[in-house]
Formats: sequence, C-alpha cells, structure tokens
Amino acid sequence: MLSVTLNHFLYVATAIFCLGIFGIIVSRNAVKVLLSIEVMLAGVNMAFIAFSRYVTPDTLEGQMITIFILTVAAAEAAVGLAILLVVYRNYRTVDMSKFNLLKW
Amino acid sequence: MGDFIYHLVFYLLAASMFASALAMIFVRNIVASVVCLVGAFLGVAGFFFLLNAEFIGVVQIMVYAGALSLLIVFAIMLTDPKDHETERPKLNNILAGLVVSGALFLIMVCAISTAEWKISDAAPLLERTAVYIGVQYFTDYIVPFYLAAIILSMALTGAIVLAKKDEEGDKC
Repeated sequence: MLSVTLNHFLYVATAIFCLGIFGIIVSRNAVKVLLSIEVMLAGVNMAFIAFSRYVTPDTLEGQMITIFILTVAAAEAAVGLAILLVVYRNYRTVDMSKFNLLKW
Repeated sequence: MGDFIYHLVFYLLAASMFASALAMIFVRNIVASVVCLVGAFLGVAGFFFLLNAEFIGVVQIMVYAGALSLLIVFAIMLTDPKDHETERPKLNNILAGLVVSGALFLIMVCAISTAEWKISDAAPLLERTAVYIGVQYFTDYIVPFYLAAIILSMALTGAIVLAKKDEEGDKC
C-alpha cells in the first residue's frame, strides 16, 4: 500500500491542468473553452493547497493565494462570458473557427 | 483503518474528477457539459477537505459549483441552442491536443518526481482556520486584498458595459 504524499496530490493537480489544456485545444465551442480554462485554474488551486498543507502547514500561505486565484477566476469568467455574448451578437455563432476577423 | 479510508477517498476522488473533466470535454450537449464541470469542481472541493482546507473547500463549492456554473448556464441561455455545436471533436484536433497536453504532463511529472520539497514538520493549524485567514487578510495581505477588490469591481463594471444592449442598434 503506497502512502499518499505531496507528490501524489501534485500529480493529480497536473493531470487536471493538462486536461484543461486538452479541452482548450480540442473544443470548438467558445463556452467549452471557458469551462476548460476554469478546469486549469482548479488544477493550479489544488497544487497550491497541497503545498500549503505540506510545506507551510502552520501559516497557510497557499490558502491565502488560492483565495486570490478564486477572485481573479470569477472576474475572468464574468468578463469572458460578456465578451462571448458580444461576439455572439455580432456573429450569430459560438464556433471558435468562425471568429476569423483577425486571421491572416 | 483511517489511513486506508484516506487512500480510498483520494483515489476515488481522483478517478471521479478525471472522469468528470473528460466527460465535460467530450459530451455533446453544452448544458450537460456544465453539469460535468460541477462534478469536477465538487471533486476538487473534496481534495481540499482531504488537505485540511475546509474553508477553501466550502468557498470552492459556493463560488465555483454554485455561482460560476449558474453564470455560465445563463450565458448559454442567452445564446440560441441551435448555434451550439453538437458534433464531437475532430480526430486531428484530438491528436494535437493529446501531443501537447501529454508532453506537458510528462515534463511536469519528471520535474515533480525529481524535485526536493522542503516538507515542514510544524504542527498543522487545525483550529479556527477561517479566523486566522481573516486576520491575515487585514494585516499581511492588505494590499493584495484591496487590489482584488478593485479587480472585482472593475471586472463586473466591464462585464455589464460589454453585455448590455446598445440603444442605437450600432454594434460595438
């Protein structure tokens, strides 16, 4: 029975982060890309909490940073969804491959 | 026995979180995708509870699994459901994503397994963690705290300005 250490939590956090990147590359729906970005942020949060538990268990520095990440993630989601609505109003689609105004 | 339960919960949470995130990517219906995302966020909150971070876990459930998914569902409701794709991702896209994310995952795993962390032996803070975090916010972290407040108000103002309908009908 192998015991759960800091490295195991970091492996899981890395896997979740890479799943978020995979979702960003694969999905063509703009909403799904935003969801994948949130998954990436959740992976980063997990890494910070794991460090907070194992490296600074008495001062909880990782938990403080995690609350700031949560704040910025909520702001980012609100602005991203507003931008998505404006783009939808102009293009009548949420397909990422149709947003080609700045393409060469 | 408690140790065994801890391990069991760890692996179950990891598996369920991974499955939810994968389902989020590959499911066709966008609302079902958001529901899968809520499952993944609940798994993350369970990990926070495993790591003695109860306050952050509850905040994660409230903010992410509650408010954020509701916001995304409202944004989906403001768009036409016929405009959302119902096809699965293309094969060459999946290959590209697998190469990029797999390469990054392998690099990170090598880096993590060879790193030497400074594991602290101090007794973990288990009592009144929320009180401690609040006191920290208004002493050591006061400047980032105000900056976060400014960021939130700016972002919400900007989101309202962006998303509101124009009076003259001109497109912004």
